[in-house]
Amino acid sequence: MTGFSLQKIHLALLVLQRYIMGVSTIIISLLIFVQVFIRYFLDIPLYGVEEIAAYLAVWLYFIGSGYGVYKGNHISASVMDLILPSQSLKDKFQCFVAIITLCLVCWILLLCWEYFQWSMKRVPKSPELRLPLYYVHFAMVAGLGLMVFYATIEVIRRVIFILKKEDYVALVTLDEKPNNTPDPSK
Amino acid sequence: MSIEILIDALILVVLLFIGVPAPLCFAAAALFLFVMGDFNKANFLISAGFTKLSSLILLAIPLYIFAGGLMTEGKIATRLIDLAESMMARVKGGLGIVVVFSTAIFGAISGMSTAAVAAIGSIMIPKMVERGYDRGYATALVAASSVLALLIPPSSSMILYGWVTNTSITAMFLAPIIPALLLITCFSVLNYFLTRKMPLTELPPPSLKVGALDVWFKTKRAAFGLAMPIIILGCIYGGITTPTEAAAIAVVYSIPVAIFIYRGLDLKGFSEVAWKTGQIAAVLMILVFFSSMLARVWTMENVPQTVLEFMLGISDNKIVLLLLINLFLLVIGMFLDDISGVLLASPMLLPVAMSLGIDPVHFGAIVGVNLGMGLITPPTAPILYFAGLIGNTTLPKMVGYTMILICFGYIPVLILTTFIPSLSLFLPELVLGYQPISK
Repeated sequence: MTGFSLQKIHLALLVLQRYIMGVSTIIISLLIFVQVFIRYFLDIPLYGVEEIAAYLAVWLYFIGSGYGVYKGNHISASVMDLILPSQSLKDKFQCFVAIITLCLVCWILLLCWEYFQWSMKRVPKSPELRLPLYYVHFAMVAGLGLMVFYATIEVIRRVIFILKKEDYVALVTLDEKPNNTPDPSK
Repeated sequence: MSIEILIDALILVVLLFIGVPAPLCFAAAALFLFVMGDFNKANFLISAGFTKLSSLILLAIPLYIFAGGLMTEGKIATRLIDLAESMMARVKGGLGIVVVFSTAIFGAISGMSTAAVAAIGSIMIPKMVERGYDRGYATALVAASSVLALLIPPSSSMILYGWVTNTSITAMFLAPIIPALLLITCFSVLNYFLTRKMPLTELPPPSLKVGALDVWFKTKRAAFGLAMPIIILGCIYGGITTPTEAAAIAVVYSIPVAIFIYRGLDLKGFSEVAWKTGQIAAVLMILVFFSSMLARVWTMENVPQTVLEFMLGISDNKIVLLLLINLFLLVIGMFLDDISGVLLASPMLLPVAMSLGIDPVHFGAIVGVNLGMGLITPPTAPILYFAGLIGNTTLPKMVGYTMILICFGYIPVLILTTFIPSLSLFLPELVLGYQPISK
């Protein structure tokens, strides 16, 4: 597969994640609003709407977390940037942190995969609509899978930059350069 | 304290310090105790995270972020600034007070301190510098005021605190309001003293009639934005909706306001706000997932009880222990953001506070003020650094003013909030008939 088509797949994956996040945010808001509206004005409780909204939110959170690893905007509290003197040392240390991060997400992905398999086997159901919960449990596997994917890319890129003795440039920085930004509306 | 718990705490702290993302630090601490403990499978850990994450109460957080994002993109900040400026036109050093007030109101609409820094700071800092204010001071004031978003309802930190500690979220929205008003007063007074020697260029004050007309006109321009927090709080405290449902109403309200009335948002902008909201919410909520795993394993290993015994072993004096709790919370706030701080500290310290007769609602206000102060206290001070980027200045130029705002604003308010329970319990008692446990 050429570098160009890999880039296209990468950008398409990003657009897909943005669509999932945007659409689920809008649908969740509307579901909760419609439920309040119908309950307040028609005095009819809408059965199971809250459940759908809450489970859709689980998909939103996990897909968004995968995207968060790509964007590098997960909450962190590093003080090493203040301590380490040079950019080269900072890059090497951040490569070490990225490896720890990758190991941890791989471990959690494994545990979530085991949980999903248990869910497929035992088929627990949601309390109101009696939906099989593996549809929702799979969100954890998908989200953590994305986290592993982007964390792996980061480790590989960081190692390459260190070997080339260049300052690290994040993938998101390259993608967001003019003429290279994936447009979710297209 | 057992050696395993100490090592667990050490793993958590070291991973946080070296910069591993906070959710994964929580996960690592949970996994360490899982490995050391006598457990067969990790399904109970994943289940704990999943059950908590799929909570309907927590849906309020993405919905408030969405409503706030829509209003921010709808250029509400400019209208709020114009209104505050028209009200302060006759006051010396008025622009500083405009920053404090507009940031406080913006915080009530957006609920996010970073959004407040970006929206208010980008307009007000250049304006203040142009009128002779010191750039470092203008930036420090924006940063310090933006943290009010944590205390003014609807606040994500207070939703999470209420949810983690099983405390009424409606009461938690009310508890930090008086401390926030005290902070607004302190900052306004400090602004007067700090700007006295600055070479300020004040515009000639308008006549009373012209001024009053201007205030009326600007109020009308900002009215739809100002109405949003009133609608939210009216729905909640009028007994019509839950906080989550009120958040959905706020979203549906803010869409036509931002698109058709304020004309600050088109369809493309709307879809961008929607996915960005999802992303911000995801980053916050994944913390909830992993912190719930950690909380489950900590409960199984009796960690809160161990912390309680450890703290009571240091001293049985209520004042000493409260000061220790404050110090602990401040240190957490200095290194972590408010959401991680609430998730980490509240379940651990609430038993200690309750053993001292502190009501959970009162304790929530203490946590809020502490973690807010931590956000602008160096070395990490994420909001201060962010404000520095927006205000195009450096830490050394802001740090002196920030420390003055902390020492003469935050610390006195924190001490008052800690030692005068009525400050945080008065409104919940008045509005909700809340019965504090200490009474």
